[in-house]
Amino acid sequence: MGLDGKVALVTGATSGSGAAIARAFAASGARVMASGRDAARGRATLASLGAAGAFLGGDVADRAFCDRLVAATVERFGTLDILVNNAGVAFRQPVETTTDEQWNETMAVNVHAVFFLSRAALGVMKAKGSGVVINIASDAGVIGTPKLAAYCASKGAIIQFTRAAALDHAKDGIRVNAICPTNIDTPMIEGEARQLGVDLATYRRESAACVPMGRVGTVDEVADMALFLVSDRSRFVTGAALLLDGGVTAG
Amino acid sequence: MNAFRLEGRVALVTGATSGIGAACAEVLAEAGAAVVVAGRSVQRGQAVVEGIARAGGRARFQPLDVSDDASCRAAVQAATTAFGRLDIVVNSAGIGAGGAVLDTTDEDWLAVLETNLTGVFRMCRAAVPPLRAGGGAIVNIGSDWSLFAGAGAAAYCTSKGGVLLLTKAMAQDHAREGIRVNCVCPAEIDTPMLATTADRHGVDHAEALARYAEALPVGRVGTPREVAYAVLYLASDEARFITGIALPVDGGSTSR
Repeated sequence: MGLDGKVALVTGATSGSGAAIARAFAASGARVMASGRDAARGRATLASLGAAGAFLGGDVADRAFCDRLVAATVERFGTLDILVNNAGVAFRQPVETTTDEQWNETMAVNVHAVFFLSRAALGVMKAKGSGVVINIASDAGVIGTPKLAAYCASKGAIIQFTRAAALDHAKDGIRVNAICPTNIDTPMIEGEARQLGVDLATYRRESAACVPMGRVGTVDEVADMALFLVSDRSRFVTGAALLLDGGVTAG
Repeated sequence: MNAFRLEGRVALVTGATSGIGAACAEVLAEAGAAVVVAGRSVQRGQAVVEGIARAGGRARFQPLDVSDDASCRAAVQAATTAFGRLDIVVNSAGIGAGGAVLDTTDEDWLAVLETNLTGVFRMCRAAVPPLRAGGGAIVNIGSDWSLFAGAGAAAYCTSKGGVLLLTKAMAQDHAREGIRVNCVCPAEIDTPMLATTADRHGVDHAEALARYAEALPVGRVGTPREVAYAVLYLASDEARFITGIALPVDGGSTSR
C-alpha cells in the first residue's frame, strides 16, 4: 500500500479529522502514533489503527509533551516520516470578549505546538533527507470569520509558518503544506454551536448554507487530502495552503 | 484639496518611538490629528513628540509595553483622557528575529509572537470600546511576509500572517459598528529594525540596504514615510468603504 514502511505522527487524533487521518494512514500501510488529550477516546482511535498503531495521551499546549511525543514516536517506530499537526481549539468570540486565557490557549495549541512539534520532527526528517509535514489550518486562515478572532489569527499565522518552513526545507527533501478546511462535521463544530448558543442542527444548517456546495465537509474528505499530500503524487507541492471548502473562498 | 485630513481626530500609534511607527505619528499629526506616541523608549518617544510639536502638531508621549495588558489599557485611557476621544489606532510595535524553525529558540519564538501578534490583540481589545463611540479605524502593520514567506524568518512570518487574519476577523466583527480594520504590508523599509537584522547577519548597514534593494522590483528599499502615507489613507475618511484589506507597500514584491 502507499504508505508501507512510513511512520506518521498525528495530533488531535482522538476525534474528528485527526482520527480520520490516523485511520486513513494506517489503512494505507503506515505505522501511526496518535495523540490527544482524551485517553478514553484515544483508546477508540488506537483500536481503529490495527497492529501498527500507538497512542500517547497528553496536551500539546505543554511544550515538554511536544518534545516527548516526537521522541516517543521515534523510539517506538525507529523513525518519523510524516507529522500532521491537527490538534486545535476554537473559541467563538470577537476580540473584545476574548479572555487572556482563551487567547493564550488558542496560541498554545494552534500555533506554539505546531512550532515545537515541527522543530523536533524537522530535525529527524532533515537527518534522513526526507519528510512531510501537514498543518491543519482553516479557511479562517485565509478569510475573516465573525466571532472567531483568536482562531483566525492562529490559522493565518500557521499558514505563514507553513510557507516559511517550506522555503527553509525545500532542499532538504522535506515538504511542508497546509490544509485549509471550512466547517467539517466534527466535535469541534458541536463546541462552536454550544458557544454561540444555537442548537447543533441549526448551526449545521447555517454553516452548510454558507458553503456554495450546500453542505459542510466530512472528516474523510480531510483525510483524503492528507493522503494526497503525503503521497508521491504531490512530490512537487510545498508551501501550499490547499483549500478544502466547497467553494467558500471562491466568492 | 482637503482629502486625507484628520483634524479633530485622535490617534494612538504603538511602536512610535522609531522607524515606521515614528513616521506614522508624524504623518498623522501633519494631517491634523492629535497623536499619542506610545512605545518603550521614553527618550526616543519624547524626541518624536518634540519633532511633531516643532512642526506645529499636537502629540504626547505614553510609555507602552504591548506585552503587558495593563499597559495597553493605560495607553488607550491616556488617549481619551488627554484628548477626549480615540479615533485611530496604528499597531506598529514589532520585533524581528531571524532563523529557520530548527534555529529558532523557544525564547525568540515566544517573544516574536508575544509582541507582534498578541500585542496587537491586546491593543485592539482595549481600543474597541472608545473606537465604537464615534466610529474609527485600526491600521495594523503587517508585512509582505503576511502574504508570502521569506527564508530564515519562521517566527516573524508566522506572527505577521496572524496579524493579517486578526485584521480580517476584526473587520468582520466590527463592520456594522463603524470600525474599519486594515493591514498595511510593507516590504523592506529603511528602519532601525532593518539595521538590527543586518547586524544579526554580520552585514554592514549600507551593504544590507543594497542587498535588499536589489531583491525588490523597484530596486530600492522603502522609507518609513512611504508606509505612513498608506496608513494615513486607510485611517482617513477617504477610505470609508475599505475594511479587512491587506495593502502592500512593497516596491512590487508581492507582484512576482
